[in-house]
Amino acid sequence: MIISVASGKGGTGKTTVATSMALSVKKITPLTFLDCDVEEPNAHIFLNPVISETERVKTVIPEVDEKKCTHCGKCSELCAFNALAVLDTITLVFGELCHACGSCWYFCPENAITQKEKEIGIIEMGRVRDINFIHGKLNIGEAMSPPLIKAVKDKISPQETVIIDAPPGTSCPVISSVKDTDFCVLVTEPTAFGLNDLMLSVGMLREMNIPCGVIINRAGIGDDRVINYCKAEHIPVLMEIPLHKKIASLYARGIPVVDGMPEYIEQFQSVYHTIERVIRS
Amino acid sequence: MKIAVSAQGQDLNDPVNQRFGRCEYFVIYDQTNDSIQALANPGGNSSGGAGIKTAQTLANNNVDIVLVGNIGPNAVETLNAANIDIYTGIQGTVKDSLELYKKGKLPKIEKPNVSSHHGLK
Repeated sequence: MIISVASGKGGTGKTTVATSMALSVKKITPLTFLDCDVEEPNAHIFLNPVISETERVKTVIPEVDEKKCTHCGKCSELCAFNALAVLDTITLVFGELCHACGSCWYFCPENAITQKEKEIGIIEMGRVRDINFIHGKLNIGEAMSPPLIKAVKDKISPQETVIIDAPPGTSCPVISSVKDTDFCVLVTEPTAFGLNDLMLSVGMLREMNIPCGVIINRAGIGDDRVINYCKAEHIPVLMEIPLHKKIASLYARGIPVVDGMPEYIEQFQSVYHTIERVIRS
Repeated sequence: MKIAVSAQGQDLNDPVNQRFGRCEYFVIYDQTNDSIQALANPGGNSSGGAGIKTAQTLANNNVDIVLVGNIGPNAVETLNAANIDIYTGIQGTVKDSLELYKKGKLPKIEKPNVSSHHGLK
């Protein structure tokens, strides 16, 4: 069973929820934790895993052999991402725009284009408190995170119980992270911004046929619109975490909520059991 | 000599567009026969790499000089490789900007004057 934790809006408490849920659920079942927010992974700050293995992740970009290239322009015409410019005397490759679709090297009439490996980041694997911990770190300056996210996810199997900390938003990195997960926990806050971005996330998940539930963080601020929206859309509100100085203080010191406030363990376990029921129904 | 101007419309009297990769049209003035031609910019709708696509289009249309407002790194790299000269500082209408160029009032640049994705901000 793979559970992703996502949110349309950034800073709502994805990592707070994902890490505390992991520490609560590992008491019930063996667990693997994935931080797929590879642009700025931070779950390790809370979980403190001991990293035992590191892997380099590469993707491929085109390399043009100028001796063979006739500057016909075919590759540039085909490229949906404008990663190639063909001029009279030179063909330019903008590797950071390449999605490695393969059209250019497949269709080049002169066989002038080959695949060149390019390192985009690393995967680190380790263990902490009986949890298998895996995260990706995208190289600084790299724009394309989905291939690294996919490589991180290739480390798990659907039979395992997995919690995935996803990046914020509703763009490609988020879609790559929540894809093929059995359930997505959407963390939001009861504000107009929280609601707006929650609606975007729900739209994305419905398009992907992934069931979801909502955890409202900083409950007590804002208004009832998030709750009313969830009711109207038949989305279960799995848990409400009140705005509490102690939680903020734990977060600021890099301590998971359930370590500082063990009374939350049962609540996160009950969220997990609810998710189990939804998936099996 | 073909001179292209980043523009919002297709005519000499249309306002210029300060954005290079995502301008609507290029109004192209051909000095050899004193003619005007409009070129729709296919780069404008790109999800990414708009500046590259736009520069490629100008190269395919044998443009020699482009008059712009703001231009980013990938567009400049492509235009430099295509030997298309870049002049910045356009303002008002296409006609106004061509006049400024002819009077030598537009500075030539070989480096970007804005960062990537400036036209999307």
